[in-house]
Amino acid sequence: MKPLKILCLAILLPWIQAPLQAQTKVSNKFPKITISDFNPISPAIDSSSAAVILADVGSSEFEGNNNGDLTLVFHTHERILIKNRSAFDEATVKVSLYTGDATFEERLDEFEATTYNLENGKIVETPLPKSAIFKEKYNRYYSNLKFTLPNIREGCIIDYKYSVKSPSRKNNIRGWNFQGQYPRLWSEYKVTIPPIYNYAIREQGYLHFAVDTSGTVFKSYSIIDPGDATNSAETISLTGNAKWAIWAMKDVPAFKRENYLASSRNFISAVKFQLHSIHYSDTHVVQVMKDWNTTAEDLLKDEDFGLCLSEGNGWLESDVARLTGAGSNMEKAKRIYAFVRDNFTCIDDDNRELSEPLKKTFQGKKGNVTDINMLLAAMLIKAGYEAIPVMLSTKSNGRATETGALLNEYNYTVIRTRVDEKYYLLDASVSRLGFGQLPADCYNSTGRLVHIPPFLIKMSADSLSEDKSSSLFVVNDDKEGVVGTYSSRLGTYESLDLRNQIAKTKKEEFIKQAVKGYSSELEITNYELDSLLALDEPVMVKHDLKIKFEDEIVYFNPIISGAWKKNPFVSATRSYPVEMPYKINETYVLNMEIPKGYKVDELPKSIRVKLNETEGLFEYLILSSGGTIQFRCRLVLEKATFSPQDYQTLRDFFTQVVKKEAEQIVFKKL
Amino acid sequence: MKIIFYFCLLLCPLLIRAQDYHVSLIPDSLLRDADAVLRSEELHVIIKNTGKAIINRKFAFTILNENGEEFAYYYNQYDKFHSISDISGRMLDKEGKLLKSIKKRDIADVAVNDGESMVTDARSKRFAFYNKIYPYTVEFEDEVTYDGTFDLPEWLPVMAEKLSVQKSLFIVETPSDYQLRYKAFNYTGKPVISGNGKTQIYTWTLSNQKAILEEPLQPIWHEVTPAVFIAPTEFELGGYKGTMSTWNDFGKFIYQLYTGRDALPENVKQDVHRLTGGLSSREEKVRALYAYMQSNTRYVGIQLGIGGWQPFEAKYVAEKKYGDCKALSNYMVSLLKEAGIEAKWVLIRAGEGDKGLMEDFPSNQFSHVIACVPGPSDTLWLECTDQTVSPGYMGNFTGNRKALLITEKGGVVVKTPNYSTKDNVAIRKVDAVIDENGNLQLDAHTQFSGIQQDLQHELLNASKEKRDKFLNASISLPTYTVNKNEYNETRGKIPVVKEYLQISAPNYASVSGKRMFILPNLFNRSEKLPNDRPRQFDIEIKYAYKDIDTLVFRIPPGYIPEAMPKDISVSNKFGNYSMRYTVKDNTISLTRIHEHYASTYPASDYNELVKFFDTMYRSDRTRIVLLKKE
Repeated sequence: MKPLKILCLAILLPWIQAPLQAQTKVSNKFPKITISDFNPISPAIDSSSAAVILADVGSSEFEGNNNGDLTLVFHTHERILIKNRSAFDEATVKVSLYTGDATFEERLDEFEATTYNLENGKIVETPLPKSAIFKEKYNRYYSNLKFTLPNIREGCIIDYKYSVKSPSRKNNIRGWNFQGQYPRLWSEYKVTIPPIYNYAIREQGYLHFAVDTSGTVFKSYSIIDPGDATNSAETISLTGNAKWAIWAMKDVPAFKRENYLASSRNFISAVKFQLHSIHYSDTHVVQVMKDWNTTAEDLLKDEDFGLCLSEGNGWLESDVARLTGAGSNMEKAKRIYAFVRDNFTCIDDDNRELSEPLKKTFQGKKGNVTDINMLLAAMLIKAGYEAIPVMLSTKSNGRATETGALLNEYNYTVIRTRVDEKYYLLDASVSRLGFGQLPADCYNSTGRLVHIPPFLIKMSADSLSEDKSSSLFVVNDDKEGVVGTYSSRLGTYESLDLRNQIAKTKKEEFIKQAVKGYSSELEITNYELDSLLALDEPVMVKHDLKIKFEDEIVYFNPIISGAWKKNPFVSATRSYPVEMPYKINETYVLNMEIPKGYKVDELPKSIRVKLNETEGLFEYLILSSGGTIQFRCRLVLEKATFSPQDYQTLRDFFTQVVKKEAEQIVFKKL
Repeated sequence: MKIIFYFCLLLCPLLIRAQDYHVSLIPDSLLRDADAVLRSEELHVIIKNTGKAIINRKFAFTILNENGEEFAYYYNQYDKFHSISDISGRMLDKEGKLLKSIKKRDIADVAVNDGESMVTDARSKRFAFYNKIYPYTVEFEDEVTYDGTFDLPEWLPVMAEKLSVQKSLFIVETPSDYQLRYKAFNYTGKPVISGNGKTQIYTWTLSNQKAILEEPLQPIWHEVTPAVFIAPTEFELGGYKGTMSTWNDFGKFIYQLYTGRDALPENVKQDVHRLTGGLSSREEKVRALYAYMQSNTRYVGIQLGIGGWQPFEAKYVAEKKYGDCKALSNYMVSLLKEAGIEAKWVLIRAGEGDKGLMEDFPSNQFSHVIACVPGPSDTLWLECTDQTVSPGYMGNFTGNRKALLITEKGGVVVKTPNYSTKDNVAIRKVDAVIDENGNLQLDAHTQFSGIQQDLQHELLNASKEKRDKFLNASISLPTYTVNKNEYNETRGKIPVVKEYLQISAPNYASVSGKRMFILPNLFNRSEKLPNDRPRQFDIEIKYAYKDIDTLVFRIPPGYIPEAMPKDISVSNKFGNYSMRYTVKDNTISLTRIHEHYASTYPASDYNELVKFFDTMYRSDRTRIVLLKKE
């Protein structure tokens, strides 16, 4: 698949007025199944497709209900050819419904499902009755409806449709993915929105729409207001021009997951919605989505978000006082950060709202990422620091639109604080993270300061560098022979990984394993890990070693640890950008006395390779003079994100790195 | 005095006095290697009668560090036959002071997803305390009422590695005329038995058990730690009654649940006769019907109520074209019956490395059902939930273990086939060319059989996309591309898969100046065994195999080996291993043969085994250095 262009528009209102033929009738994509459907032809299908989505059509519209409101009605209709048994799972469907509250309970309706098999040239239908749907109460709030189509064999076609009525989801029209695990011959989504609602719509992906049109249609919604003790029930009729839009894609290839792709969500072709405003009347308009200024103001007053920061929070007084006793501004801020990080468990790292009042989080010692980081902010503020929440969307959640305040695109909150005129981003929800560090998953282009003014701050993987420097000194010792000392200062994320591993095993176990990773010609002693508990500092690895020099010829790789042994870019081709978690800056230095009784027979060649002139550098510089060997190896990637066009160059670059870092110095006995 | 009397009367150990959980009361020996300590446990099983039992469990763990947190959660399951009541719990600090108690509304009630079934009626109650200040203690108590006593709980106080046990009691209370059966592992002595004429009480006790660390190749868990299994003699299940003091009786009960569910619809009957009518041998007929079952069904797990134990009728499977293991096996048996071939259901414990049922302790020990066509010398075992496996092949999942064959006369213990070094073979021939830049091009032809073909069988049946992805990520070459892959299968009791791979690996050999370094053993490198503390447990090697790898390298002209590794040949009780090299003109060949026996060895043999693995590890990674002639 060739990427066409990045379509990442935020189409805001007003809606494009439709041409006169408004109600465009999209051709019916579900004609009677014929024999040719069992052998479809499309450029999107390749020999590896285990299933082909023949048609995948959905719609969202509204109808009046009995609670004085509108109900969102979602329809879906799928027709899938199952070519290989590895796609049999497609025949089992799970629909999750909200059932936590009788008034707003979601209901599945208009269910039809049939399996079609081609038997002796004839099409045999096996319908599935609605009674075959299993209902499972998943928990207090949700139930799962599950059904599995009968008579599934390789080569069968399944066809099912249903609708879901959601009285409580009016603010949340479902988005639609036009692309997925299997190729789709036709994928279509239609929305019809009552005149009172305005939605912001976002289209994303690499592929072109076959249909992308919108218009208006006259609609009448009949809403029954149930009334109450003083008012009797009444029927309200809501009429006017409803807006509709249809998107469709034809012959969509399967989306294939690739390594070093931060989130497939950023690349799958999709449309997404967020309620923008509600026009009850010309004089009564509720602005749901606002500009960032207003949104930030609202968020700061929202009890599910920022209100807690402007409250007194007197209950924090004694703890803050205890933590801020003596010391510099920095020491105090670090103590507050460490207290929150080390005492509270994060049970949900995918939520931009508070799940409960801060005080409850404080007492229960647990919360979601926003609970914990807002608690951190509250404590910092109590101690007199500036602390501003930064709302962001993590890589796994996909990229958020920067222009409009589409709150449902955000899933994470961190805190920006200022200590001695310097800014720091903090995340107390992750164990063993240092002060001023964030998980790499947070660096997904930008974050939004929830503050007046609500600045956008850059948080790009291209701004994050993993720096590592290692050195090895080897000398001749009269008693011990050829001995050396090694030390390595790890990068931020390697340090975090190492600390996490040690928390899982034990330091001694970890060291045992680490020592095993060395070549068997090296005897490793005095292995030590410094700064293991000083989380704000990188970990230092140190050890001594003895190198076996006995044989006539000795081959010695100057890089004893941390060499790139395998090319990280496995796949031979690439359709999407490479998004590495950070830039790389590694330096390895060796200073070696030539072992007594030996001479250098051969040294690897020095080389210097550049990646696209300025984007990366690999240096392998070695020379032998005056009885010593000087060696320096450096790998630098100046950016973390590369376009698919650069993939081959990048893969070749690493092929060079891997090759060179495996080379040996050859010593011969004198 | 009066109060004590009252306690005695009840004979009720449930009402323990408020216990002191100060961490200083944990002996030092229990802290070594431990992530958590089971401070006290009482697992109290009260069997009221054949139809009802009440299980009360009260337990407290001290969590020593982050890794011990799995014990800080409350989790228990219930379903149509089991109901949970009276959950309580509290969290204490290191001094044993109360931090928090469970509130009823905080207990989550969630459907259970076993990862296999589409629908079950199993649900769970869950609760978690959160604390990051170690150590701390959690204490929980609950009560489960069993409707039916087909299954009874087991006592396995050391439920994981790195867990020590300060005190655990297993108390089973039965009516005095009740015949309780039990089997203990690693428990010295007998249970204390007391009675008052009405009831009989059995008590097992474990105190101050140190934490155990898992070891590679160790026997299954209950064979190395204290465990007690209990089982009824007479029991009820979902309205059915039975006895299980012998496997024969157990089988009779199962027969009751399974029998009479074999009626097939007319069209399926016709298919059976059409497919088998022209065939003469029994084996051909079984193969034809097995292929029919495989291509016409798929696995869908639906376990509701008695449906957890009783299969759907064959008719249901014929219509829906799906079922779980019971339903599909019953369907297969029904198809065979229609063709005049006698076949049986077999209850089995599935899973790699499992030894199957404990023959001397009839009880419900099963997780899976297969079908069997008995024969004097040609018994065929049929796995009915896999749509691609060869008829008669069991593999690691159900092979080499004891299972229960169900007949109208009752259960019979049978053994499924074992796969030996002769069956599990991989013969690989590699032709490789290295050019002067160190680039490698190779063709690899490998024939896998028996358990060795399991992975390739899976690849053969995977979608091309998954296969390509796997092949391009799983081989231990630094940078490479699999340009071609082909697979061919010969079905049979010992299935054989032939694999052809064409691979190019740029810069495989590292060229420095006039030398070129090659790691010639490309595909088959054994790993080391850890040897950092004295071995505790017996060594169980469950899987025998033989590998023969022959690799021929054409090296670039002008290069000669600077040094060739020495040939190696080792033979011992664990197997044999050899690596031989030959150099001829511009080719270097190596032949690696490794035969690995399946057996059990005493712990004292461990050092020798480690040495054997070390020898192979080094030999498998030996480099060849080529030198360019000036």
